[in-house]
Amino acid sequence: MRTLTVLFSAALASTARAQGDGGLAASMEEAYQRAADKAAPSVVAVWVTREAEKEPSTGNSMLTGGVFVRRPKDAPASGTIVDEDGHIITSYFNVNGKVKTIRVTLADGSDKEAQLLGYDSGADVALLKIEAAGLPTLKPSPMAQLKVGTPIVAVGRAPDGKGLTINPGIVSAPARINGRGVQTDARMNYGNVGGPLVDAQGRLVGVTCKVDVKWAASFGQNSGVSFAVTWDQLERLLPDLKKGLKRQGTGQPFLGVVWNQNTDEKEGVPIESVVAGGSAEAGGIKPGDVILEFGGEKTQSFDDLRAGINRRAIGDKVKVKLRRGEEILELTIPLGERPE
Amino acid sequence: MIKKTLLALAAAVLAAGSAAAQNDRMEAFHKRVQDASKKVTDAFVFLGGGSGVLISADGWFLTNHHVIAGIGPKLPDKTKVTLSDGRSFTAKMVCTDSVGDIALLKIEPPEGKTFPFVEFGDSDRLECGQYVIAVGNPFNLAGPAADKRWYPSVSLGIVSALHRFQQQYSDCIQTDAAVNPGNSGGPLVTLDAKLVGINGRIATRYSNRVNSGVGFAIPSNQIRHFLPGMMKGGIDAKIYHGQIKGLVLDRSHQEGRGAIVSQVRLGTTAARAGFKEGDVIVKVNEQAITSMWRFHGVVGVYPMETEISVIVKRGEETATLKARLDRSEGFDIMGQPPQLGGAYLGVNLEDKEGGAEVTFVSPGSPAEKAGLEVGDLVVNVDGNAVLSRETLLERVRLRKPGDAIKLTVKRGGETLEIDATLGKRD
Repeated sequence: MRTLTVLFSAALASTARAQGDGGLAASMEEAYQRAADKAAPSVVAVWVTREAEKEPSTGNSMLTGGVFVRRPKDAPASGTIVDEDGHIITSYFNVNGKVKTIRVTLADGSDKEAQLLGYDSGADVALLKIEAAGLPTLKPSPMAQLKVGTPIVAVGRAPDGKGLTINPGIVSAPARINGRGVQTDARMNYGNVGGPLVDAQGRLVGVTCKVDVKWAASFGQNSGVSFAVTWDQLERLLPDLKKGLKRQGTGQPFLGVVWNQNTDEKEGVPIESVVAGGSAEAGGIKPGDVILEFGGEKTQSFDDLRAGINRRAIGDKVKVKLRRGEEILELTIPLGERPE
Repeated sequence: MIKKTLLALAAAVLAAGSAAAQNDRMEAFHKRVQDASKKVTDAFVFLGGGSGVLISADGWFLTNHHVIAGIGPKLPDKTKVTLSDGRSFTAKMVCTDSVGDIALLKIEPPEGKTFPFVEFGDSDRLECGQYVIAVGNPFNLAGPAADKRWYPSVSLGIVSALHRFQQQYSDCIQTDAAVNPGNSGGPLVTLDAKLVGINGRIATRYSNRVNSGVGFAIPSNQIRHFLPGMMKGGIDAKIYHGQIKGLVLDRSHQEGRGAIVSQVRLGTTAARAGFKEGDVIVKVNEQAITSMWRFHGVVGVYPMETEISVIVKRGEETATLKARLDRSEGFDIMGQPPQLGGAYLGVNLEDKEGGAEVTFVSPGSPAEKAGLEVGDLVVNVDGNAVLSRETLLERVRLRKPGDAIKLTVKRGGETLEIDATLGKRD
């Protein structure tokens, strides 16, 4: 009887405490833990050994003195199990370079050698394979419910293979990485990148990537601008990766023109210069041309042109209508790939 | 036994009820984050490599001065901006506050249409630890997506500190919401989508230009003090901060006691306001003053010519002093000293009740050509009340030779409107 009374008053007390701060802090803590616990069995540690990389030249050692700015040659990272048969998605950044060995530690502590099956460097995605069966996978998060402001958690596996790293945040923007992913303010760094981004129910939103984008992570310091390739895009990519797709390059369509912003041109997009070796140069666009139409659509601004390029794929042949002096020309130009 | 079971049941119900309630609270919280994100995204303005936010249905919007200065003074009237729905507009520069790092611009809505906008919140009512949302275009990530919309980046954080003194950002809000290059000029809002600041700075080291968890925003209440003057176009599209001339403060640490007046220069605003050496300034308007920096911080949120009320402790007594702020001579956010226009009117003036009285008109001067006479009481300049001799002189100094100014003058029983074309100061 006495024990029960104590229990009862303890329950009351905890309710009172929860109400004291609106209960929000407690419920957020709990939700993040719950999400991470659900994700945990499918998050693996990835150990990569590779030949040493050249230190980047910083110009001034004062800038980086004592600061860890480069992925170590033997690097611990994270990965996400995507099917029962041992396929694991990680960030391509984790497994590029002159790799000697890749080992994976599962949540149960078992340690396996992994093979790099395929990758797409533009999406920063790599597929690993270990010998296993019946591995736990995550339920996908319904993409339609993903809004800016939706709470998410970036889950990584600690280097010892046992603990998790949990970095909560929100969805900052959709339609990033050329439409292949989302942006989040959850902090990502060398180590947790390659792990899953999950929603508050622990369902898979995507796999974190692009931790090494120079402008967004200066000298290895995360800026609060992080990315993940979403699960629907990964699913689309998986069959090719399983077949051994090894794609280098950004994967983004590219015309190769520089827009002149300082003219009074009322109509079209005036071109200041063309990128050497780009498709515009090969296709015959010249500095001073004014692009009037791209693929049959009027280009009233540079943004129209940019949107037109981004909607197409590398290799697409696009009709470009332009004005050169008094002449109106129509060229057909195959799109190239944006350089890295 | 029955009692025992009931008690156990009650405990279980409480525990379960509490877990469900916690889930609801979390969902309610994130619903607020999502709703605010959407509202602010709709009112967001992309310009150059920076950010901006609409504050009215008819198209007034704010950004940072340093965003506009980056675009270049030659193109202020041709600044192309884009809204998140993908529509582009040409913005007109209306006025800029180069010290407070705020610029006011305007776009015109299509006939019969209005723009989405965010309402002002009260930045003085923020609390440390309160959730805030920063919206911006860090690293210029946004562009037309497949659906032709532009998506700014939204980050969630808390108010880390209030009333930070960071030179020109004299009373700023510190936040850990991720703010990066490109966020400049973008809004910091509460979960009710109320504008409480304009993000403009981040604390960095080793030239590492990414967010460190320490970002600074100009508080909305400061912006509110400047907005009426800015909407009128300021003085040649510029607006100026205030200071009390002739007031020298003790730079030593005063352990939160206040700001100590170490000297009052003769014939200055400080002397006229009645400051005395040894006074301890403890309040400016409603804000408690704890140090010299806090005094500069609070004064820094007002434009020149604002009348402020200062409470000082003088021995056992307390005195309330009124001072009309002079123009601040501090460097602006781009590190530039104040630029005067170098214009010349050619009068001597004296402070009088209701304006400034002309005591001398220089022969051949713009004043003489315009018809000003000794004994005239100048009560208004360019639509602004002449509060003192200094007010009129400042407004002349800030103009360029060749500029026209409008003076309202009382002569005898008459009120005259006088147009003068300013000359060049030799």
